[in-house]
Order: sequence, then structure tokens, then C-alpha cells
Amino acid sequence: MKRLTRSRLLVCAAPCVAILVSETTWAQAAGEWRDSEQLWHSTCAYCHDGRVASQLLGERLSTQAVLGAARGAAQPMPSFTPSQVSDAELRALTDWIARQKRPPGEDPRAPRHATRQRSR
Amino acid sequence: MQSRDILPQGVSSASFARALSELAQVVGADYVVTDPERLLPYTKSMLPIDEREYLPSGVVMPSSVEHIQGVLGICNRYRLPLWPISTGRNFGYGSALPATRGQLILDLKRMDRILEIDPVLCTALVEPGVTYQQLHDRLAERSLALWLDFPGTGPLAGPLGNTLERGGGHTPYGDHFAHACGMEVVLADGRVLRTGTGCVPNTDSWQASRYGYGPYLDGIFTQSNFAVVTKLGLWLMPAPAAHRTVMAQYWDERDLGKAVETVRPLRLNGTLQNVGVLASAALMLSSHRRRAELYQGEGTVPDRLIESAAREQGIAPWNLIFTLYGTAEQIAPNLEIARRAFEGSGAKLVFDVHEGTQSNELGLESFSLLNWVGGGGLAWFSPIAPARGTDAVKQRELAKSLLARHGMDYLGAFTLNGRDLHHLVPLLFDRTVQPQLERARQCFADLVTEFTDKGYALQRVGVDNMGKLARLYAATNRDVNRMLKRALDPNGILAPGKSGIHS
Repeated sequence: MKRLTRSRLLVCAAPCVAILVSETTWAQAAGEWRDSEQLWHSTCAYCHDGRVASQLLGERLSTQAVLGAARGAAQPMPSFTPSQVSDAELRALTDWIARQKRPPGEDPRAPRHATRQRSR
Repeated sequence: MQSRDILPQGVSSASFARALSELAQVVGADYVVTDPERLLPYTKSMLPIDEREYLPSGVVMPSSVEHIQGVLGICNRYRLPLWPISTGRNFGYGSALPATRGQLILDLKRMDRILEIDPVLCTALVEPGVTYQQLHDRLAERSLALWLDFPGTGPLAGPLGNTLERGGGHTPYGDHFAHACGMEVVLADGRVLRTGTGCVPNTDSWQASRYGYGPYLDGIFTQSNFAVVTKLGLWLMPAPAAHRTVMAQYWDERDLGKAVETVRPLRLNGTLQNVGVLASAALMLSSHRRRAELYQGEGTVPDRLIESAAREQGIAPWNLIFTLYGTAEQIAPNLEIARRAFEGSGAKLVFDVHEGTQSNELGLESFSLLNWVGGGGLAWFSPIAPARGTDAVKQRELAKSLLARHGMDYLGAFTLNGRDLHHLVPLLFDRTVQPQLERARQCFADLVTEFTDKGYALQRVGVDNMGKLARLYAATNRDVNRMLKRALDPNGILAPGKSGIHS
């Protein structure tokens, strides 16, 4: 995994008037995710917290299932390319998901979609 | 070298193998992919197509402008067609798929640096692989009071690709190309062009001033195949002190025209600043219910079932959602003006509704749409309508009747741009059921023909209809595009077929 460094950005932004960016920012591409938690919250959770698709937290999914779904086998889920997330990151994510506590009172397989209020 | 089924058109297997070997020397062997299994994520689309007709021959992933220049040199020598993608999230228009089979995808995701954020002039400069999520996170980390405007696919998609496709969002900065400022593009011969004031050495106004001197070139690099865009300047919206999102509901289905006639003057005189949305009952309902819960018979879901299910959720036949921005003192009088206009036209107002796309909150709730039918099929039909009530009604009736002819539901919406409306009509179907896929394909073809016959233009179209749409436009338009193509990319290596443009 890679942290964007000050020196890298200085070099890259040299032709422009560079206003330095934070040193703590993590990029969001294969090999650049900080950890599984960041990957989950920046990508998967938008649907798989139960709002659009099934809640996955706490599920013991097989690595094969996660890799398959992410690489394009699941409908209607969009696919993720090897440039967006690596196989190793998907394997780590599978383990991380299994270690999380399932949110209380939720059927993991049923999206809240059917009762969710779009506007409030 | 393994034998390959998919080759770029006119390129021999031996020649392709040599080219791949040279490409690997430029970008690194790990970043040239031809293994069919690793190509799979690039080949998944939501369109009603047979992907085999669009399969890429491989993917090459540069991480710098210098890499791209090296790749272009090789592709010119071997006549390899290259299909650039930024994040490849062109959902409902083809995702990452090229317009023709055998092209080599130029995946720019590794170029994902946010090169500059200027909190004084409220601008940013980004590379192709930057996502809205990444930019959003950066602004939050730096505690900068700047807002982004993004499409419904925000967290996954990125500003460069979306702007080049002339995509949109729902804040006052909803017209993305209108809020882009300065591009860096690599021409097919490897030369680097910076547009606007970017061509002035040592300029510090590249992201501040859009036009520079001489012809304004940025437009020719959108929805086109004349160069590879490697940097894009963005204008960011200063976060307003306050905002209020309001829904004006028209409870009579026949009031669509009245809604458009009411909102247009408010948009043109500046009372309403943002690209709000006028959504049909069925579109809103798709966030709450699945089609099969309402109806399992033949043909479209009967209107009465949609209306009664929608009513249970507080959804009207037409729901116009807009947001007022500014200080509380600015919002109050504009809200009063809007209230009088909408209530005077028969709408009921619901105050302080939540709509994240109008207030800088990333989300993927728009994907709920895919649950209406299930099975992952989506093709966006998106004609442009002048912002007149009569045109909105005419387009809606035409779209609904053509969809019904193919047994498909109308879940349309209009974005409220001012003088025009983008009529967004999703064709939803189960991709795993071949007759549904065929129906969607035929329905889309009929929609394109019927709408263009009546003089309506489309604002964007999927890879499967780019050639067809270009052929429906005037010959001079095609000729000029071809002249530009031949001048800028004489070997025709960049994205042949994009927007129907070939060399």
C-alpha cells in the first residue's frame, strides 16, 4: 500500500502553482487503499450496508465469492478492475468483513431497500 | 506467447505479440493484461448487447504522461486502436467497453493524483483516475469548505471522465463541462497540449480562466476521440452557509407541462440556482419497491398500481426537487417566491427533504433503480427537450408509448437545466433473460429513431448506438468530425467509433 508523499506531489505538481495537499491522504486504487475499512466505507458500504443491497458485515463469505462478485460475476453489482482493487486487497476485505459485528436486528440477506425512505 | 482469439482489427497475432512486448517495456509487464480472466471486469456492461462483439484485445495501464507518449508511439507503429478510460464507470452507456471489438483499453486509473486544490479561487486540478470519493475525502481532510457536484454514481466515478462525457449533477455546478477549466491532452503524435491559458508558460491562471486566446478548444476533446485527456481543471462550489431542499409535488399526472412552465422562469431569473430534478412516480418508487412486488403480469405495470403504491410512500405523480443555497437571509425571500409560484400552479410543497446529490453528500442510492427489475440491465435513453411544458409532455408520451410497446416501464425524470431539460429514461431489464435483452435492444433502437425523427437530439448514447446516432445527424457534422479526426489522429488509433467518429 502506498501513501502519497509530499515529495511525490511536489514533483508532480511542479508545473502548476502547487498548494500542498495533506500528507495523510490515501489514494483509492489497487495497492493504494489504506486498509479494508477504508475500502469498505469508500465503496462497498454505499450499497452493502443494506441500503441498496444485502448487509454483508459479519458474513463469513468465501474469498472466491468476493473475488467473483467484485470481478463481475454478480448482478446487478458493478465490476471492479485490477487497477481499482487488487486480489490481495479483496482477500483482506473478505477477512475484515467476517470479523465485523453484524448490525443488530438486521436480516443480513434482506436489503432495507423495500422500506427505506428516499426523502425525509 | 498464448494464442489469442481477440486481435485488433487488421493486426496479425505475431505483430500484436511484438507490440505487447514493447508496451510491457514502457509500462511494466504487470500493467499489460491480455489474460481473459483478468479482462473480465472491463467487459461487464449493463447494456442490451452481446459483449462478445465489444471485447477488448487487452488492457494497458500507464502511470504517467511519459508512459502514454510511449504507448501512443507503439500504437501508431502497429496501428493498434486504443480506447482510453478514466474510471470506466460509464454505467448504462457501456461502462468500460470500447465501441468496437479488439481495441486495447488504455486504463488511466493509475494516474490518480489530485495535483492541486486552491481554496482561494476554489479550483482543483486532477488526473483521470481520481474519483469523486477521493476528492471529497481530500477536501474533508483539509477542512476546506468546498462542495463537489457529482452524478448518481459519485463515489465510484470520477470528475475527469464524467466531464468528458458531459455528464451532470444537481447543484448549481451541475453542468460539469461548464465548470471545468483547462485541460492537458496528449495528442496522438505524443505532443502535449494545455488548453485555455495553460499554453502560457508559467501561468497561474490555468484553472481560473477558461478561454485564453484564440479558439476555445476544450469542447472538441469531450465526447470525442481526438486526444487522451490527462489533466482537468475543476471549479468547486464554495460551501453555502445554509441550504434548504424542497419538493414540489403535482398530484395530477396531467400536470407535467404545468410543472415545467412553473420552474423555467424561476431557473432563468435565478430564484432557483441548481439543476433540480422532476421525477416520475415510478422512478421515485423504485427506491422503495421492486416491480415484482406490485405486478407479475404481462406488459408494463398498470399506472393505477404505480400510483397507489407511490401514494403509500408519499410520492406524487410528479415530484420536483430543488434546493436553495446561501445565507438564511438570502434563502428566505427566494423560498417565498418559489412557494407562491409552485402553490399557485397547484403543487403541494414538502420542506426540508433530503437529497444528497443536491447537497454534497456522496451515495449510491441511485443503484436502487437496478432493483426494480433485477438482473443488471440498464440503458440510459437521454434526449434533450427545450424547457417547454409542451415538449416535456410530448417526449414523455412518446417515450412511455414506445416503452409500453415493448412491455417496459417508464421511470423517467427531467433535469432542470434552465432553457433545456435532459429527459432521462432508464431502460431496465434482466440481462440474464435473453428475450428481455432483445426487447430492450429493439426498444432503444425505436426510441432513437422516433425521437430524432421529431427533431429531438440526444445528449449522450451508449457504445452500441454511437454509429447509428451519428448517422442520423447532418452529413456536414460527420464530415467536420472526420476532418478533425484525420488532422489530429491520422492513423486513427484513438478510440475508433467513439461518438460514431472514425478516421
